[in-house]
Amino acid sequence: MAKKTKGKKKSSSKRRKAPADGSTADAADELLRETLAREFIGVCLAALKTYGLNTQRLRELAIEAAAEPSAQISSATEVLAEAQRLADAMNKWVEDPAYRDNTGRPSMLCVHADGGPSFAALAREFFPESTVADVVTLGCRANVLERAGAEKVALLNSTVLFTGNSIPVLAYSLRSVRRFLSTADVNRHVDSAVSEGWPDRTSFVEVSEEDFREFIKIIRPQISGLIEMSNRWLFQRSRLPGNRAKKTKVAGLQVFVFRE
Amino acid sequence: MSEAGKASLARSAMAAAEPLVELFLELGITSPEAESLLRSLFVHKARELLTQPGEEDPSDVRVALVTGVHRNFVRSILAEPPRIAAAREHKGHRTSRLLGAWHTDPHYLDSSGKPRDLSEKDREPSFSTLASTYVPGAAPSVVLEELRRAGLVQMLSEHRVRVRSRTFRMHGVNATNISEMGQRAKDLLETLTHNLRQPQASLFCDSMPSIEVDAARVPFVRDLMARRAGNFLAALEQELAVEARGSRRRKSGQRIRVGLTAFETEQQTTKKRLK
Repeated sequence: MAKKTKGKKKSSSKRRKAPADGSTADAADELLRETLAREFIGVCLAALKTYGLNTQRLRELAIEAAAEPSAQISSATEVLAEAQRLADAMNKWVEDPAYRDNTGRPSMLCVHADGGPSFAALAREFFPESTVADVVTLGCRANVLERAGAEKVALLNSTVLFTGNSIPVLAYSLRSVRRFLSTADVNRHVDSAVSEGWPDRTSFVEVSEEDFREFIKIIRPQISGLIEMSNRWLFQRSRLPGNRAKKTKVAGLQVFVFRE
Repeated sequence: MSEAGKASLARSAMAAAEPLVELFLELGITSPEAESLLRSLFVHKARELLTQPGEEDPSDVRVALVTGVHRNFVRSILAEPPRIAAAREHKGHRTSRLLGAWHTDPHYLDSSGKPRDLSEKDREPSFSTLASTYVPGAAPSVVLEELRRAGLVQMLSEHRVRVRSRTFRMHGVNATNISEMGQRAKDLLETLTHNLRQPQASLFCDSMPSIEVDAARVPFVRDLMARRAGNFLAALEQELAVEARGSRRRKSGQRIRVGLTAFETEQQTTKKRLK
């Protein structure tokens, strides 16, 4: 049976709503909260073990992490900094009219500067400390671009993928979980999820392996379209002259397919 | 007729048929399709010639003897007006398989599921490999030239190729395209007429407010609209496929063909002059 849920959903309609901060939760709520917290930690530990960390080391790391204020943890951002700059460069290639060809698509770019829009100009802007050749190599390795002839590069994908590379995938997962938890935190503090909460929707149904593969094929272009639309809107808004002076925070949309 | 006479006749017929073959090529009709059309005409014409006034139609066996077409085929051909055989028509142009694969084979798609621009042959995945896989027996350069001539691919710099259509169709003013234009105009007018006559049961017909953009930005906007609308139509087709399958199983009497069409509009505007 098809199901649609919102992220903010009570486990039972008969259960009394607990305060968002859990300050005056009764014994039953407290027990349930701890059970869920234990399971949550278990899920994280099980996932981390697949990256080669053993139980003893994870226990030590958990104790260290619990002793640190969470705001100080920014390793994921550091690991992803290079990928983020590459993504920003690709974003400019896709969004800036100067980098499009006469059909409206991202044009092939000269590797070396020739006065106009070039890959060298993008590399200089987003990787000032690197050589252009290094940035080309990085882009090819990340599968976002490929060489076209001796002097040009063509955009392959506007999304920087981390497939097959464990450390960036781990950092990316950490950042995704952190972002999801921040949305969940907003939603557990609002009274009306419809008018004040941030959108958080899920669809899930039991399907065969074959149908799951078909689903991916169908949904991939839809997700890409949605992300592209979201990215374009946010990118253009951020560049409006009136918005540049305002205090800003990173905001966005993340979509992924899952199978349990 | 003697062998020499047949050869002479064939030369004359060839001269007469040449312009027709050129037209077929221009329209994207393949040789097997044209051959099946010719066979169908042969059979129908033979029956017409063999029919004597006031007599019954000649038997299938007699038509088969005259035309050299097997009597089983004669029967099926005579059951309908002269046309390209459905089996041939369905098979379509050889490059249709290639175009379909370029839009569905994961090797030739980018991370968002769109067909990639391909290098002609230098880098994999290349057009050369695509052509060899899906049109075996034809030189990739010949396939590429055929697709280019039909306007189905765009040649980019550095020997790269961009696909422009998922199906084989000759661009420009031709019978197929004019027929499709008529069908689309008919569909739109029928919907508008239906909505005028039955506002209580109106069909969806809506549009976004037009915007004015710089002429230099139009290619980007066209590409964006094509991708968004294409994605939307593809998603709706998939979503409604379940409904169509369920309807096929139910054997109710009246059936209705339902569809949705999206199209872009453009009008030239001029700047207002201040007096």
